[in-house]
Amino acid sequence: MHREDQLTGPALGGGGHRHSRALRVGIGGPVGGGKTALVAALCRSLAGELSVAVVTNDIYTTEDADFLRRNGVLADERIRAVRTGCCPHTAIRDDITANLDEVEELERLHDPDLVLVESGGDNLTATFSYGLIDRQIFVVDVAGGDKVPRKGGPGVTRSDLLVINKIDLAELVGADLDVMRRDSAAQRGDRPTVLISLRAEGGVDPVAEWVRESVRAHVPG
Amino acid sequence: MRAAATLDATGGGVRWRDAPPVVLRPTGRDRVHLVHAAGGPLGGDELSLRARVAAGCALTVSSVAATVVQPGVGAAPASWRVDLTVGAGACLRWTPQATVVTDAATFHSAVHAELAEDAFLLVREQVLLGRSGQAGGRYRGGLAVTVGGRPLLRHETVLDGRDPDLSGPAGSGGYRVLGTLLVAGPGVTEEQRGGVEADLRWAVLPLAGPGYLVLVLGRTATAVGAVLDGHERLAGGGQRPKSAFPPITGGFPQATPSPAGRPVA
Repeated sequence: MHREDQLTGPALGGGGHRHSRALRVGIGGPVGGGKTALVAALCRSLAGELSVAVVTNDIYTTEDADFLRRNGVLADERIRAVRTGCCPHTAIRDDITANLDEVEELERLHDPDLVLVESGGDNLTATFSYGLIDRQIFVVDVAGGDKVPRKGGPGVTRSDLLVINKIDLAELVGADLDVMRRDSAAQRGDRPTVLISLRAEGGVDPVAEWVRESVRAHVPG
Repeated sequence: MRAAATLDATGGGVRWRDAPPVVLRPTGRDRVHLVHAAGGPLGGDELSLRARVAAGCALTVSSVAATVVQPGVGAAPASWRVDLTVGAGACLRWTPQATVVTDAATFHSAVHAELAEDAFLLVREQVLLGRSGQAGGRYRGGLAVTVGGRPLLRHETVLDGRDPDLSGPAGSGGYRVLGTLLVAGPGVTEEQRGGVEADLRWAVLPLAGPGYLVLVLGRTATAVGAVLDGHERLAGGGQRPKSAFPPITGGFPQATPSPAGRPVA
C-alpha cells in the first residue's frame, strides 16, 4: 500500500506555504484531574486578548467538546473533537495525524494565536509528541493523592508546566500540599509547577499567565 | 514486511510517498515527522526511507516517539535503511527519537548520506539496549557519509546486551544507552575532547571534514540525551538559512544539559 502526498510551496525558510503557526499547547493528565475545566477556564481568561481554538480527545464520544460548547467558552466552530477509538496517548504521541489534521484545519480557518489540544484522560506516562504541540501542561489533582508528584513519570517530570489542581480539597482528602510542592520541585528541577483551584475566583490566573508568556515567546516553526 | 518510503524537499514543496508502517507527516514549514502508524519493526521487517533535499532547501526529519524493536517469528533481523541526499547549500537534520532494542530482537540500521560540497547535515540517533530491566537485544548500526563524493565517515557500531564481550569494558562498558551526533558542513569544527562522569562517558571526534562526531554512552536516555542536546545547540550556529531550523523538537526541548553537554572552554 502506497500513498502519495505533497505540500506545495518551497521547503525554504520564509516560504510560508503553511498558515502562520499558532502556539500549540497540549494539556494532558489522568482522568478527572480537571483538564477540560482548565481548557474552559483558559478560554474564558484569554479569549478577550488572544484568538483561541481547541481540539479535544475522547475515546468514543465528543463529551469534552460538547461540554465546552455548552459552556459557551468559544464559538462552536473553534472547537473540534477527535475520537481516538483507542488509548488516548496513542493519538497524542504515536499516530498524531488525527490531531494534526484538526489543529491544521483550525489554523487554516481561524488563524488563531493559540491552539489548546486536550488529551483524553490517561496515566502518568502519557505525554504529547513535540511533533504535535510546542509546549505541554500536565494536570494532576490533590484528590488523586499527595504521592503523585513523588511517583514521577514523564508527565510529572518533564512537562513544561505541572498543574496541581483542586487544592481546595486538600484538607478533605488528607493531602499535604507542602509535600506535593516539595516533591514536584525535586522531580522537575527548574520546570515550573503551580498549585491551584480552578473553582476559586482567579484560580486559573497562574496558568493563563504562563500561556500568555509562552505565546509571546513563540517563534512560529 | 517490506516497505520503502520516499521524501523529497524541493523549491516547489515537500513531496512524499508513505509506505506503512513508514508513514510521514509534515509538522512545520521545513519539518516532517515519522509517525507510528503501526507496530514494529519486528524481526524480518525490511523498512527503508530515501530522503532528498534539493539545493538551497532545508528539512528536519524527526519521529513522534521512540521506536521499539521486537523479535519476529524467525531469526531474521529487523532492518532499517535510510538514504539521505543533501544538495548544494541545502541542510538536513535527521533527528529521530530513540530506538529501543528489546530482548531477543536484532536490529540492523544503516544511514547513508551523500552531501554536496557545501551541504549541512546533522544526524542524531539514540539506541537503548532493552526495556527497563532487560539486558537488550543485538544492534548493528552503520553511519556512512560522503561529501562531494569523498568519504567523510564510515562508522559501524555493534551492541549486544547478552554478549559479555560486546557489553563488557571493551564494548559498551555496561552502559545501556548509546547516543550519536554527527555534524557536517561548511565551517563546522570542533576540538577533540571527551569526559567520564558517574553515569556516562562521551567523546567528540573531529573528522577530516569539515565535521565532527559525538559519541555518548550512558546509563539513562535522559543523561545521554542531555549531552546530545548540548552539542546540538552548539551546532545550531552552522552556515545555513537561519529560518530553516525550528526549535529543537527531539524529545523534551527543555531538558537541562549536564555539565558534559556544555561547551568546554
